Amino acid sequence: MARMKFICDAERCIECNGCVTACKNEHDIPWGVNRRRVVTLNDGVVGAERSISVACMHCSDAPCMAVCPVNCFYKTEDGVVLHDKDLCIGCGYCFYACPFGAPQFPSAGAFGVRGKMDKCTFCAGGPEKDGSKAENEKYGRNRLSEGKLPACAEMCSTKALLAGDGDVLSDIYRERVMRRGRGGDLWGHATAYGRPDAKAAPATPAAPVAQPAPQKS
Amino acid sequence: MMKPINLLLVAGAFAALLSGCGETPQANVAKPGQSAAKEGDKPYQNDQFKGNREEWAKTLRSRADNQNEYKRVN
Amino acid sequence: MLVRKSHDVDGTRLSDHSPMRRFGAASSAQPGRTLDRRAFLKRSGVGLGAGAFASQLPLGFVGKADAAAPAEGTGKAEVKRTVCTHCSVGCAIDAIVENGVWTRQEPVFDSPINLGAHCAKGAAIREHGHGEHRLKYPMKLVNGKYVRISWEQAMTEVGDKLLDLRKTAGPDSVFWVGSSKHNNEQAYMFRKFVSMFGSNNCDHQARICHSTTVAGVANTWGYGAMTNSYNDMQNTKCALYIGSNAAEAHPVSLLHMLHAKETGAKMIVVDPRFTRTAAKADEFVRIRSGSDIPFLFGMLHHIFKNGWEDKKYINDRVFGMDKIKEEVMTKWTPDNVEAACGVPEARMAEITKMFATNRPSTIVWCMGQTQHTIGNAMVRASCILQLALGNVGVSGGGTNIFRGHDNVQGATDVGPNPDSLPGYYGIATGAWKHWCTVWGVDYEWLKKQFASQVMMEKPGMTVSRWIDGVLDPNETIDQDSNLKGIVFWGHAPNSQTRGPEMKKAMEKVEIMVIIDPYPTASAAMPDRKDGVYLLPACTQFETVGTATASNRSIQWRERVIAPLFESQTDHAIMYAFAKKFGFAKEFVKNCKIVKPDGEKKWEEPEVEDILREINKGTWTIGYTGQSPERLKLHMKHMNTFDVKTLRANGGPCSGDYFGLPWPCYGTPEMKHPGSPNLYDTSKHVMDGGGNFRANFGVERDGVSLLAEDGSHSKGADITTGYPELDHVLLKKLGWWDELTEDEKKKAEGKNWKTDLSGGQIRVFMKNHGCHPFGNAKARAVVWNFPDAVPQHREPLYGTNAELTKKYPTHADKGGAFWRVKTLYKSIQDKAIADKVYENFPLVLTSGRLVEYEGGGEETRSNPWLAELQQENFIEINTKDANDRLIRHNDMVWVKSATGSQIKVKALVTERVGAGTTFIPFHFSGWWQGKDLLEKYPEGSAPIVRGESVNVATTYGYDSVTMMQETKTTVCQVVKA
Repeated sequence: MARMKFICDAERCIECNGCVTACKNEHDIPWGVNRRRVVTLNDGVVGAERSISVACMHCSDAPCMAVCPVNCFYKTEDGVVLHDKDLCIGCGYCFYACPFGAPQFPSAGAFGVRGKMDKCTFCAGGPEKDGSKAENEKYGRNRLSEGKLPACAEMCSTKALLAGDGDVLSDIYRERVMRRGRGGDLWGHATAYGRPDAKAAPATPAAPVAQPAPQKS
Repeated sequence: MMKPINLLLVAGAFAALLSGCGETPQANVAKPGQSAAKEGDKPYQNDQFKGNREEWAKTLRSRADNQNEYKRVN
Repeated sequence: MLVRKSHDVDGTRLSDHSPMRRFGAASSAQPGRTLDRRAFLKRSGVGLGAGAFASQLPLGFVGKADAAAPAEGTGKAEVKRTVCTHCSVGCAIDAIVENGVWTRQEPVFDSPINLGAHCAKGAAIREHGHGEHRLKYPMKLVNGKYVRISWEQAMTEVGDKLLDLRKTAGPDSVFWVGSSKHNNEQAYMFRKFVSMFGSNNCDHQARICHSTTVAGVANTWGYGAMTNSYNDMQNTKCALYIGSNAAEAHPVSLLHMLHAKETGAKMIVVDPRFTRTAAKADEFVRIRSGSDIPFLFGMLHHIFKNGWEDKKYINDRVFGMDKIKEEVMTKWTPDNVEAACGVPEARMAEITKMFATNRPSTIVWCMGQTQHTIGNAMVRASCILQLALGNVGVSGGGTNIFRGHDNVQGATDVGPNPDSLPGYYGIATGAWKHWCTVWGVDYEWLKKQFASQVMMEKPGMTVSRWIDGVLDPNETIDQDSNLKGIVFWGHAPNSQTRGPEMKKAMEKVEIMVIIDPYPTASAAMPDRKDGVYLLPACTQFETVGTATASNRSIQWRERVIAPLFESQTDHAIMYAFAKKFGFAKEFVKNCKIVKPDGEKKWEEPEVEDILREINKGTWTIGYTGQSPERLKLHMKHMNTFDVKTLRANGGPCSGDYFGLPWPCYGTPEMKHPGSPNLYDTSKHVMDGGGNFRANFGVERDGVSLLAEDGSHSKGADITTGYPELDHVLLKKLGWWDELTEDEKKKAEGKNWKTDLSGGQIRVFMKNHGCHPFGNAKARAVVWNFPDAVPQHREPLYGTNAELTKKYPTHADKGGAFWRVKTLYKSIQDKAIADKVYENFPLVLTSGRLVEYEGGGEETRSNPWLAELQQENFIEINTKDANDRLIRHNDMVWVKSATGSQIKVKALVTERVGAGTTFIPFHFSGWWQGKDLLEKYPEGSAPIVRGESVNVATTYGYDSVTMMQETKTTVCQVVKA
């Protein structure tokens, strides 16, 4: 069975923001809402600067689902975490629970009253009929039902951000790791999917290393 | 270029990280079926895939290969 | 664990505390319409930071369809294949169009150039289908306000005024700034248009981006272009980026480089800044701004010392390397190198070894080298390094010069250059006669359009100096009248230096005409009451045509949508003006006239026919084989081209290189495949091989300039050096009778560049495997340049008086140099005498951001991009900031040695070293602290406005091409 995942290869991410605008473009996301963003750690520090693209990771054990008081989240059979905006009350709990800062709260009116939560859908829309106008208006395009993958990853300038079936991504990433002769930062992977992909970085008995420290390149 | 030993270190690092988190659920994750959300369509229930999940999954897998330039160039 | 982890690694929170250059990216932007994020979080009692709670949204739900979004279930989706217009990489895009509306874009995985990949700009290209902030109809400045007028009124008033100037002040009184964002056909027609107006006073962005490269490189070995390709960088073992921030300026090129790195290539970045590109490199070397020659010659010193040079290659294919060796061994000793560029001997040795021993190695440069008063010498130092190592004409090697705009290479090749007709033919009598024949017009008629034959053959002014053409005293100008009219046809003014003087020039001319999809900063800059016209042109997505990527590949764009609003295509506007000026018939002699949009838009010359005319005349650089039919076939069968070699193996384009990279010699029927890597002797000339060009005579000081025996392209019948091809040579070789009778008639008395039959080239290349431009040595010594051996010279305004005394600039030049006088020494001496470096102790340099392009009006009008960079800023080192009590995010004044000052935000960072500051150059719309919003036509101001760095840049021009100095000047920064 397919298990949809995102991985971001920090060895390749150049912070070009292509993923960010691809998302804005595909879903007509308004100003101020960022389903995806690129974060640079140690900005300007020689040897330590790393960039990563972040959005909803569609976690295996999604904390947002756990905390939602109205149970508006659901998970597709392919592991994509979606939600129903008709149920969402905009309480923001999911935002506090999310380790990636993914949920967005567009304001619905004056005085900064929060509207329905919005987040990355893995380009899979929402509960409305796939590809319908109603779905498009609330959740954006539904690429998965067209046999396409998320626009952000498909357009990534250096193919750093990968999306798709976890097994395929493992194959892609493993090939790179082999070529490089070393692993890299798969930032957020463990948090989202519970363990690093076995095929991507063959697990060995725990080594006494505390952190996947940034690689000196 | 790094030696294979470093690859192991990195792999080990992941494992080390995980030993903290384990596989136990952090909270009462809503189970499928418990969600109050409307039922979404299956992404393959449409004119393009005619309900054929395997066909759909295959399409996505080959689409995913576009993210791997090693398929076109070594 | 999960939650705690999020505290540790939540990027947005971290970025609040770390030096971050994306101001406002996390919170919403537009003042007065946003919820203050910090206030909100405080109120909610939560310490987590993230830009999650945005406001000012018009709609409760995200993704609400706007006017341009599709209606459900209507219309048939069409796919139009186009190419991104934001840089020279040439990324293909499939545009989805429903009912004439551009509704989506899809990646083109088949493209061998970008494999579907895009940067922020390419992934946001569909905004061109909205164009909310575009100039929507013709406008005119009346009493200081822009008012809407009809096209008829605009054409009448503008046309009458320009005709009047032509009559009263002469055809040279108007300066025409063309565009590198025109497609090839429009750029070509623009040069023809200005010629028929009777002037050489035209130019475009290449002047201020790679003019020094084009001149320096062409004078070294033949052609002024990137020798290899982005793709070929996959074959390199080591890449040295010096003065290029490709990760921001050419992001998709990094796809190829990072792939190469994964397969074992080394990557070195040399720059005053630790750029995004440097962050991906194996080695980063910080040099003092403007010290490229000391660095490069420092490398050569180590190369010669260790005997790493390719002695056979140098003997066979290079002229003058002995002189270079002498220079670097005596002058650029490690101590001198360290004093000048700041890199110690051991580090120089380490980097040099990496580059010299991992061959083939390639060098990449961009504006960091070109935009200096000695840009022509810097780029030649780079060429010489590659020649010494035998890296030129080799796959994986070469000088990979990344051009800027999507079609700046093409516009340079066939477009509006003040010193040349299309194809670098120059502007001597013979060149004019050649092009008159191609255009089908009488040479005598054309000559009468000019003020005189002398003016017809005198290079025009440059876009970097038009302001002096307006402001300088008439007696110092090398033409009758000062400039009295300026036409900006697709060109931002804020990308040129000396903003305050430009403003004065804009206020002094009698008429300003801006023909552009956007009003541009030109509309808002001058304080004028009248005499400014804004005419809406459309973008490349609203017409068809070709663009030449940096690697010389030419791609055909289909039309995505009809021209929006009242805009017209550039060639339709040119044709309309040609009618007004009375040379319409001559202008489109060989072109069918078409009306792609019926009565809704104007008629225009057919683009395919224009390309065929280019094919018919541009023999010099092989723009002759790329017929519209061949190019369209390539766009259709992109998947058949190999990513590493760019060559099609099988399929309808079998044997061709993608986009028929020029030179693609001979007629389309000759089926030359294009040239993937220039000067590559390992391939037959009919397989895209070649050798260095014989363009500088056959001997110099008694030494032969032709290549040595055995150094020739594979399979050539002449196995030594030879001069360029003409009818005499062909006869001497006994090959004349291989021409057909018809070809003989046309080829008689001609050379390969003027034989319109293409017969000479056919016989020479196809039958005998020889190169029509001859086979000579590359020149390490360019005796016709001010510094035959590249010399390091300090900028006019520098911070190091001692080095300035040691490496002084050129002597001043008189008026014969591009029609204006140009100062060097007098300015530098005065700056030293006045101790400018004491009051302005920081180096100011400028560069790009990934989200924006060029002057930035187009990209700052695109909300998807504008949101990511909302304010202009100055990068300043922590030490310099602390010394001035400036904190991160403070507003500061950047004071220029000219007396001007600009207000930007301080970004305190280690990215720049102490003593150096950096400001991106894409901003405009502020003027010395003041927002010019009300000076734009209503609704057409860009979303993001900011201070232009070029209000603070200073005087300084390259001694060969008039390239402006933007990369090294001085400033002071104070808290605002």
